[in-house]
Amino acid sequence: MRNLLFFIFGTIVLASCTTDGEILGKMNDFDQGPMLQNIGNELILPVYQNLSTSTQELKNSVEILVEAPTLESLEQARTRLKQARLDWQYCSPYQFGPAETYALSAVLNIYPIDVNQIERNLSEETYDLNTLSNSDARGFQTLGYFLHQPDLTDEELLAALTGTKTDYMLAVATQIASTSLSVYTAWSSEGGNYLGTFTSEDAFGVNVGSSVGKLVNAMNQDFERNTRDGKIGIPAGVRSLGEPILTATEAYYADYSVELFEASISAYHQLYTGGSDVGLDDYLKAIQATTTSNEELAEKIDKQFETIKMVSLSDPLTTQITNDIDPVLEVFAEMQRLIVMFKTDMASSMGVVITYQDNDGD
Amino acid sequence: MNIIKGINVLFFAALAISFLSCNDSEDPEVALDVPETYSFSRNGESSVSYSGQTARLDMLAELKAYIGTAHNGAELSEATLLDMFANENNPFSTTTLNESGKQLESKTFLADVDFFKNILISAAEASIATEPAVQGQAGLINRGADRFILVDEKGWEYTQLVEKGLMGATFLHQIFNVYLTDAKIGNNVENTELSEGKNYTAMEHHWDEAFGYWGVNPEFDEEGENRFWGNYTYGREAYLGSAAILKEAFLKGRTAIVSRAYDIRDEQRDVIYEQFELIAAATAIHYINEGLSDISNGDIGNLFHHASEGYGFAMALKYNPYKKITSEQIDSILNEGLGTDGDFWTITAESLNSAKITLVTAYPELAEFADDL
Repeated sequence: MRNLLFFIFGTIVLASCTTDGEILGKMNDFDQGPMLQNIGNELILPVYQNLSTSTQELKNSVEILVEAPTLESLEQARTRLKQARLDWQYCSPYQFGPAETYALSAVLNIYPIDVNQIERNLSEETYDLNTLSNSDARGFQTLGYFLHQPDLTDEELLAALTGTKTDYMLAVATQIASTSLSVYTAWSSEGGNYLGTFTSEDAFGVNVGSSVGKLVNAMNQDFERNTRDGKIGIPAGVRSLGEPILTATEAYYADYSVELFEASISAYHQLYTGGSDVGLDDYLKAIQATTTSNEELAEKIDKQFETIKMVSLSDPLTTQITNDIDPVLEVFAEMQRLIVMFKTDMASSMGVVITYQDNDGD
Repeated sequence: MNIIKGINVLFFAALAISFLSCNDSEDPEVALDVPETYSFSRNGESSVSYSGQTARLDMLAELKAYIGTAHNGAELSEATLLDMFANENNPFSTTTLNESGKQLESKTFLADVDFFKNILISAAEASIATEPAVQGQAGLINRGADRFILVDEKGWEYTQLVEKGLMGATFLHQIFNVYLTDAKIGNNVENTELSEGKNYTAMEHHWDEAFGYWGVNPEFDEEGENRFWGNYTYGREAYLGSAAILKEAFLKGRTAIVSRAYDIRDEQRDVIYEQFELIAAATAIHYINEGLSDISNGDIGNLFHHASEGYGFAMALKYNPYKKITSEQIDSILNEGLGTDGDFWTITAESLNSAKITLVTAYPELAEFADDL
């Protein structure tokens, strides 16, 4: 027995030097099928369907606004924009497969936008929103920029909606809607049926390219870059020696960044629990995953979500940062703790290798 | 269940041990064989690479030169200026730079990106001004008898604010807050396996990239090509001796990484933070001294030129996460010493002297030669 343990011990030591997840993979006694079915059918497909619907409605509302610029149509477009952005939060964790193919996240939600680039496009009147150099001159925040002008009254804003601006808004809204639809179609079984790929037995396991491997990598990357850094850390100055960058908030023009952030946390919690069925928490329980200090991981993560949700932030986030930054930094720190659980404890318990890297080299 | 738990405990114990065994972090008691030039090799081939840094130095040189054409009356294009900052739409003179995939903007201190973009936009607007500069109005102003510089409504000379400013916000920031951090050269960074297709480990490469932003030639020849911080390091060498100290620190730290003598690496890293901060502070004082002599000569153009350089160097201090100077002190230098809210038209000998005193208070080691710098 002692020899056997020693042997296992030695093998693991060797394995960890070669980043081979195979041995850990064998420790997994969890049937991934029902979880992938649940996450694919009950979470991912519906959220992309919602996004596809709400971005189509957003586009319609912009069309109506352009044709008949009234206070009502302006309000309607603002409401639709907000709904689409809230729906996007639930898709953001799933930026793999079709979403990656269509660069969905880069089309919809790069911020802060480059106002100067937008103005340049407007004055030149020839622009291609599909180019990389326009990735910060399109998407939700660009529509937010046109629909929410803090210096203008609503009447003034409507009066300033000239032909070039309305063309631009329409082009942005159309691009958002069509890209969202493409991703939804690619997932749906009537379309590209990526759902079938995602849930197929061939994609079971934890190797690079497996569904769980893709999911765990995508959610970690998105949570780290967008939820922790993009929504909270960067605006609060965590990446700039404590100097806040208010212009970097997600809904800088529309002033509901905290609401978007809260939706993002809910989306992650939903993914984690699997909604009303099998989720990542069940996976962790089944393999009896523990933290380095031997606590039950599933429970600990659940508690950590509650801790994050307990921190109260108010919109506008810019005012919250300026007047009372402590809760903002607190929520950042709590998310940091959650990332350790996701990225280190959960991924290694499952045997998933984190393959993405931060991209600030060279 | 207990067995599985037991295995997990074992696994983590094993993992902990394996980290140690993969990353021999114990310092060997060997004397380091430190070279005299910045050349390191493995299997007969150089293991040093910092072409991305060199590309960015080249970009800043071209950007500055382009803005400088406005001193002779050329009109600047806002689009070109912003393109040069972001390396978009082939703004540079060589395809090598245009297609390098490198750029300045994405490496600039995040909170100051807009500050620099606004300066660039302002430069384009100012370049079409037909009236000379006066307080509150951008335009050309005489510098000395026979040349002009383009300044903004506060008297900031665009070329200098952009060049010295980005030396801090991009180059120093990258050294301080990226390449010399634990995330890039700490003990958990790969230093055994070579990076894919490369002749260096990740840790070695990150150290080299920090070195690349210094801008000295790898032979450390004072007469050779020394750019940006390299140039200013030698500029204050007689007083600070920083070029010699930094040379040793970079060489020794790099050697220590190869030998996995991580305590030595960390000591050298501390030296690098300290020296760059000191160079920035001493150079800021140097330009304050120049400004004082401009005032006594009644030469406003030169005063603005030197104040612009001083502003950039004083601003650079803020990027050191371990800085000795406080944010309040930096603020008082920038917004009082160099004129009210940085309006150079309101600079006085008194305000410059108070800025100098603030710097000397923060860096007492500069006191004995502060008036000579």
